[in-house]
Amino acid sequence: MVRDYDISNNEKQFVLAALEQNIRLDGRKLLQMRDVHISVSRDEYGYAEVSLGKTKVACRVTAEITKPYEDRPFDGIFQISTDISPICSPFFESGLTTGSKQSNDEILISRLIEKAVRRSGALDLESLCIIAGSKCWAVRADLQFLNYDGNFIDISSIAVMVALLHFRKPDMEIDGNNVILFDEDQRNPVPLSILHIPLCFTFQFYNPNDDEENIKGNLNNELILLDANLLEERLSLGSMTLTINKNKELCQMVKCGGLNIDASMIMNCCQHASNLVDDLTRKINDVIKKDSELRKNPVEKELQVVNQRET
Amino acid sequence: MSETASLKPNKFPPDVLARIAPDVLLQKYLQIGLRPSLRKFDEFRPVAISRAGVGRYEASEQNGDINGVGSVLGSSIVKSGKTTAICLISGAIVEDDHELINDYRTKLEKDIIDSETHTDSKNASVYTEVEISRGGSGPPNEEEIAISHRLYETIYHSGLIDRDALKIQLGYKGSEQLEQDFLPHTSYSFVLYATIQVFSRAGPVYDLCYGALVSALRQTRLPAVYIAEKRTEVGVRRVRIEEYDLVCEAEKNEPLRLNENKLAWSSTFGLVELDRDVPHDEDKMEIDTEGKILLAELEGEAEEDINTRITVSSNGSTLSGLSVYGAAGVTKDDLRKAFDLASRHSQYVLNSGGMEM
Amino acid sequence: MSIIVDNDPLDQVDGSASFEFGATKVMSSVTGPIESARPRNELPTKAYLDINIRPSSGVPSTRETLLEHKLGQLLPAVINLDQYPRQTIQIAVQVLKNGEPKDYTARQLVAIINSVFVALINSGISLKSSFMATCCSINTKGEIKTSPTSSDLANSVSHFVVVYSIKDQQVDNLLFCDGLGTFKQKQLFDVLDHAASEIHLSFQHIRQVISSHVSHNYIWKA
Repeated sequence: MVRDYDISNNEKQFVLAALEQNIRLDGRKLLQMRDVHISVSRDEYGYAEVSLGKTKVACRVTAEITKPYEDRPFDGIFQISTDISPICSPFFESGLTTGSKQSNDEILISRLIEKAVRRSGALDLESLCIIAGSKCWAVRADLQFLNYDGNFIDISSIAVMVALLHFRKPDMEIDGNNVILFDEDQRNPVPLSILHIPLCFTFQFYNPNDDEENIKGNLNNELILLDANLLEERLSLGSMTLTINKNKELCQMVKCGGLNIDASMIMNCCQHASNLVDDLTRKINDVIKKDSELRKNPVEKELQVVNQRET
Repeated sequence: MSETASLKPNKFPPDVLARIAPDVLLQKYLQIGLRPSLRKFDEFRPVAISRAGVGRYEASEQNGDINGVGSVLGSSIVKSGKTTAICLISGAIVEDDHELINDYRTKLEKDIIDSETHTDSKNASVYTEVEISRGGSGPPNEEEIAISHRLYETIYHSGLIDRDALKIQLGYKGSEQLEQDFLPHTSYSFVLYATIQVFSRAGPVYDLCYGALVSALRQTRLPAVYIAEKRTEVGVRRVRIEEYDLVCEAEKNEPLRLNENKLAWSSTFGLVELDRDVPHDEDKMEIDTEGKILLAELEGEAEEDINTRITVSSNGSTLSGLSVYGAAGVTKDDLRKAFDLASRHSQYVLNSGGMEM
Repeated sequence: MSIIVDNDPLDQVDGSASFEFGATKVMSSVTGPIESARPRNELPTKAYLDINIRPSSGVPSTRETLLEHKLGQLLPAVINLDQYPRQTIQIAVQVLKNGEPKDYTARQLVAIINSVFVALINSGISLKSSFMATCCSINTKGEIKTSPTSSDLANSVSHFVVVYSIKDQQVDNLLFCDGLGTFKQKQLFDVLDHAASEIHLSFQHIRQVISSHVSHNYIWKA
């Protein structure tokens, strides 16, 4: 890759010196998230645009009927695809550039999202089964990164979950071996069965002292930042992603190398994330609720087939 | 004494000039009423269409028996000028279900379907892969992919092939139809693939590929299919999976039904503006055009530099598929002229017996 | 046709725009002129166009390559490529909402072309003329519909994408026309007339959006 995002030494020192005094360039506290803005599509199902400060992603969920995997005849299929296109920043090169730094970042992000959402069982795969061994729903979430200002991971987990909650698949009936699908006008489409809403929180670590203090010392005054922007992310010495849900269950914890951090500080991070997850979950549910109320017309409300359920 | 520097005019042979300044060379030719390819402005290259003779149901040349083996269902060779395109059609069998259910409209409750809003997509197409040989191997480049997909799109939207024409009527080995009770729950269809190889290309090759594809489809023969065996397998965790072995007959076959009135031939034109500023010899023959010249079937480096192009498929009266682009500002008159030429050309090619083979 | 244009929503690129009409939405970005990433892309006399289109769902396929190819046919006619020799202009397009059946690309192509136009303006790349796209379809009865909806397209016999250049707020030259399906010459000419008047109307709106964006950017001058 020819181009890269260069940060001058002055800029670097300035940002780090400010951080040591608990000041971030955008005026936030160290452990404060940027404002999350979520909008969902009014005229179709399964499309959400989420922005976190200037970082912006869109997520689209689609479903189609296919044959299940042979070794899992009772399960549906769920796939998440993440591809970073040059639209969000010219530093991401288009096309296949295996081995370059960008594609490593990309793999890392998609693995993290995959583990956070798919492996944590957020989507009930068994409910996607139609006829065991021959037909099932294949749900696909496509993440589209639009603007890059750091912290793709947290925003992606929000976007995928909102899009999944927003999605409705067409209602259907099984007649022998035949599947009859119903149009939106004939029967209300049904929501996916979402078991919980795992959300990611990424912390960045900085070391105000030298390496020796970090490894040998007992000071534990490493700086911890939540929801870093592009500049902060570039200067970070290590990061950790926690995936947590409303029930305060830790679904995933990833800290690959980087700065050595005291275990008790990590506990503090967990505590902080579990405080934040409530607000964020409420925000997501509000958006979904508002959207479904806008879609409802009063007559249909009476004729609703599916019972309302809280997710 | 100082030497006077003098600029000597450089002289290049035409083929060199065509590479370094194609636009200049083209203007030079056009000023004297000629094309670099030495054809007339509206002259097409002669087209020759023949069978490749390698199809499963084609008679082999030695003894006249049909080949009976192989996966090629139709083939053609189209030659135009020096360029040759070979097209081979092959097929595969798919279960209708998965594709059709996802096309939600096909499985809606019958009594609620309202024909105004729900029309089945009746058209089918052929998945095409174009390879322009350029002395080397590698993944298809952008031009090849674009031609391939454009062929797919044009055939699909022109309605040349009905989806029903690819449906498989299962039978016993032999002749009879299967009784209703024995029919499997799933229905099957053919999917057609086309591989087109282009050799020694000169000029845009879309027309040639389109011609080769249509000619090959015209004599494609689909095999009769019967069920050899029904197997019910108990798969993982006691899930019953019904599978059928489908066998394609070696001899019995029937031609692929095409909507003959949708058969067309494609022509590409270049539109070039005559540059009055290029100095030219006064004594040479002057042509009287009002600035813009339409050139049929571009060929060679100088002509390919023209980047205002009109590509149109026509069957003589109806057009099917059109692509116009370029900065020269195509007017309706230019289009009319191009359409006239294209329909005359396609009538000639489609009716001249070349297509009958 | 209600058009929603979002001017310069992205800030990591030189110019960007999203274009939404009906159920179709596309976001485009333009970066350039920048250094060519590969020596192969350094053209001695003009800029190289690096066009990248991503579908709303799934991975890019031959369909997107053809769309890129079509955009690559149109853009040299409107961008002053010879002003940026040896450099690259990177155009990235993300389709956000299809708004049409899966075998059609007409509405998407219209949204792509129009969003790229606004993005090019925002990026400050030198253009030869303004341009705008629209689409039309002809149904079985031979009626022409401008900006057809998804079901209009599904029931159509043929459909067209038409791009005209615009000079002094008037529709000028035909730059691009892409027609699929079967149609007669007269029908095509009617389509061109319909498209020209449609473009004349819609361009007023785009112009307004651009001029308000520019005056907002130059607010410090007032």
